Amino acid sequence: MVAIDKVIAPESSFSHNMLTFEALFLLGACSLLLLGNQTQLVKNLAMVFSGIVLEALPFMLLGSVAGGLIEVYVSQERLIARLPKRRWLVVFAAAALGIVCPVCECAVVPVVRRLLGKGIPFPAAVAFLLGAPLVNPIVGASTAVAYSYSGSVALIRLSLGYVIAVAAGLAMGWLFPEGSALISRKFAPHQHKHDCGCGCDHSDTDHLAAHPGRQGIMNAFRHASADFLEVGHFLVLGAFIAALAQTVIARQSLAHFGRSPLSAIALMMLLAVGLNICSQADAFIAASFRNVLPFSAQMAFMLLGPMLDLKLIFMYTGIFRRKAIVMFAIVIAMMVFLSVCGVQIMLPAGPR
Amino acid sequence: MKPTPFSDRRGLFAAVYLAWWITLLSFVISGEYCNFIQPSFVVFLWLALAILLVFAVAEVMQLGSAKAGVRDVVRGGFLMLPLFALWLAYGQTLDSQAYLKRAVTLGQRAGRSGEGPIHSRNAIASRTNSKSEPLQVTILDILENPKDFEGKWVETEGIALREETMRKDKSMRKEAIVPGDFVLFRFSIICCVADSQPLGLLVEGVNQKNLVDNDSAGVKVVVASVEIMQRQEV
Repeated sequence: MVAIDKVIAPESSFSHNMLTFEALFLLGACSLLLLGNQTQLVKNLAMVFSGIVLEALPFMLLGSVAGGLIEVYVSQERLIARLPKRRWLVVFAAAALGIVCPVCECAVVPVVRRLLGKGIPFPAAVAFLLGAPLVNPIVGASTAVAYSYSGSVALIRLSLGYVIAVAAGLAMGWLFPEGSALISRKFAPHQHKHDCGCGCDHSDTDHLAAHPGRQGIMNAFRHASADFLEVGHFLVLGAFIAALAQTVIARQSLAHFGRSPLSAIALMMLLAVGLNICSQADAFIAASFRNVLPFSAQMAFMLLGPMLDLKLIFMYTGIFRRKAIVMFAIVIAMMVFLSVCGVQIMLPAGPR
Repeated sequence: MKPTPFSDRRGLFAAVYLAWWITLLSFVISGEYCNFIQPSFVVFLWLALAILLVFAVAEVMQLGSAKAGVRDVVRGGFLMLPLFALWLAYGQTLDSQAYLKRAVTLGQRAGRSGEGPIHSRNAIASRTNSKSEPLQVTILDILENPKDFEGKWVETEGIALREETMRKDKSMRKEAIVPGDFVLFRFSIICCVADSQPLGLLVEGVNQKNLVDNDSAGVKVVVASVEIMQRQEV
């Protein structure tokens, strides 16, 4: 049997400091839930936290299964051979993949981990990671419904999301060449092959794809389970912090920041990171600020949330190095900010 | 010391998956999941149940391959944390504390239109001689179609939030609170409780002596439009 943990476990993701932090966090969270369970605040915290995890869980599991199937049944060599020779074209295509393959932000992370392992170029993986949860028909429809069946709001959201996904993919590829942003060497592109030792003509990474029948579907589930365990605890960590933010921060008190468009945009970007709302539902939250904050600020919330929120930041640590995550966050935030500033200049009152 | 299934890495994670499976199954069968997520999501929960079971089997099949370390215990603990929260929140719903934190306007209507508060005048006294029965509606019905209900006598239910509690809340803009008013609210879940929208009706002219926060309350009211904070609302 293939040693799955050795294959997929990132070498540097679980440092001693991180382990200590996680242990302390777990202890603190348990104490808070246990000691404060008679207070309204903690009851609501428990509800919101459970709700976020319960909603994300099926999609995380599905994403993990998809990742496991990719690992076992998709041949790295065949996949790379089918990619266009012009790599930038892959980035443009990857950012729009959500149109035919709509995945939410929770499901996309395990899939991207496996695709990177199969040799998908890093910029394309970033474009897919950012584009798929945003540029898809479900998000388009929910945005249109939230804004009183306004197709133009949905169109603006999806178009800007696509442009940002492509631009961020290209920028990250330029900033971190040769997969230097990735935590595992397995994810980084190889110029040479390792023999798997089975006697056939394929590399070690393609062994399972070449002989899927030998261990069958169960092997895919073992990989999927390992992926889920790797990323799942980051989901829990992010969901707890987001639930805490939702329970403690009063949205009405934030409305005071809406007096200037710039502060409103900054505020909604912070809210997008802090609230962790699913991309299929966030338009309804954004629309509830219609009479309070400018349209550009609502758009900032809808663009940034599916790309960068607390749970995603923690989940990204299963793929990217810390330095790359910081840069990733800066690149995305800057691009969202610039896009919505453009929206503010061109459509200060929103589309008619 | 004799090794237990939990000292085995695979045994530990299999136990975590099974704990999730049992909890999820009980929440689905009892219908309790509806308090946390949109009822139509039950299909995904059944799917999750199937996958969790397969994952548990996959882990059991690898029993004995590795011992559980501190890292595995912490990771297992993290995955158990939502279960702990789920059981703590069993039978609960979001209450007035959540309403006050989420409502952007005092009687916030559904995010779909993003318009402001709806004001309802209690009209029980003036309607005592009326032979017609009030329309049975939900708060969402009124907020979604305010013009259809304006001036109509309706009966609706929700959770009570007293004027006194609103005044005590630091984030609440006091100029929006009219003496004698209370808010009848509910939450509308879009996907999960994290994105649930507060739906509030301001109700005036009711004796609030016997009203307790977070109690369910029913009102018979005439829907009317009023001006709140210089804005003409429905």
